[in-house]
Amino acid sequence: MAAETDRTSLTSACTAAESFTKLYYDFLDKMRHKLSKLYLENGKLVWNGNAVDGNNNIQKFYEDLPPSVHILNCLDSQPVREEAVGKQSTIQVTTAGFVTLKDRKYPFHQSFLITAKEDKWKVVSDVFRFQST
Amino acid sequence: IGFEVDDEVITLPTSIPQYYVQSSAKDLISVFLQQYYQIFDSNNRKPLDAAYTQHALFSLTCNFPETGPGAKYTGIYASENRNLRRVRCSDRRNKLMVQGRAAIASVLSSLPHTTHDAASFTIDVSVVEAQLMVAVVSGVFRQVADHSPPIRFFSRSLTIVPEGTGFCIANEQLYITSATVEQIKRAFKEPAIAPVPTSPTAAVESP
Repeated sequence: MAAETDRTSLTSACTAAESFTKLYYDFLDKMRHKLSKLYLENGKLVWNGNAVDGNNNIQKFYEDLPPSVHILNCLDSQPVREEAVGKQSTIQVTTAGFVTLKDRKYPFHQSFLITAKEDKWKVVSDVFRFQST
Repeated sequence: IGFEVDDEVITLPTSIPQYYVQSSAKDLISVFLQQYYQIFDSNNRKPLDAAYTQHALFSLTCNFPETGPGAKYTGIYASENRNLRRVRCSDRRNKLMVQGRAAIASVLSSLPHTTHDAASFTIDVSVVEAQLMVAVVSGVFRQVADHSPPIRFFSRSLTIVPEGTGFCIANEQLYITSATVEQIKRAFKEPAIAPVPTSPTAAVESP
């Protein structure tokens, strides 16, 4: 049976989540043409229930959305347990806040599964929802 | 002389309340959630320990207005709030990570009694593999004991693994905030789905 999660993993999950979200929302709001780099090649986005497969399609999907400004109120991160991912370093990151799309402001929440690949964190799964759908 | 600018009205993709990467996950997750919330909304949340793996992780984040009706009865959530944007101290962050099924059941038991509105639920199951499923569930609930219960919004991000004959949660992040005006108007208007007539722990039992 897998052991308890140690302090080091907890701390590095926090650090990774802080760096990741800073980059991610910066790319999303200002540099969408770079977004595909943050996802695994076969990464998945589920945007208000609409599924988009593959990092290039995800970037294209976001490029078609109106300009955005995200404001984060909440951030949390956990190392994903060994029973789910074995020794593969993986974190589960959640965010919540407000996004302004063109001129409408929506409360949103988002949940990422992010895994280490060749020394880089890559998004496996990105689930985004407005609070009221 | 002007410019030819794109002045089209922005239309966003229509929201779809549920998504399952594999349709086979639908029944499994629906039954799991129905049984989970049957216990969660009961007077005794202790049996929920069976829904988690031995060393599962649980953490809660919340965001409420500081004054006004939305601020009422929020202290209990605020004391567990692991929002990394506010909690900077690494010791405190580690302390707010709840580890192990017994500790999780005990924190869940300390939260206010609730009634969830199943008709409001959205479910996204984005990953289904042999060893792991990723599900995000959101919706509205009210706190039972309050005289004029404020409607709240929750979102749970779950990593679910097979264990014994059933499934258990290995990672859970719970986010709680006030419901929007729109959500309050719609809350508890539609009849909830009839509960499945099985024993309440069938899908969440451990080996």
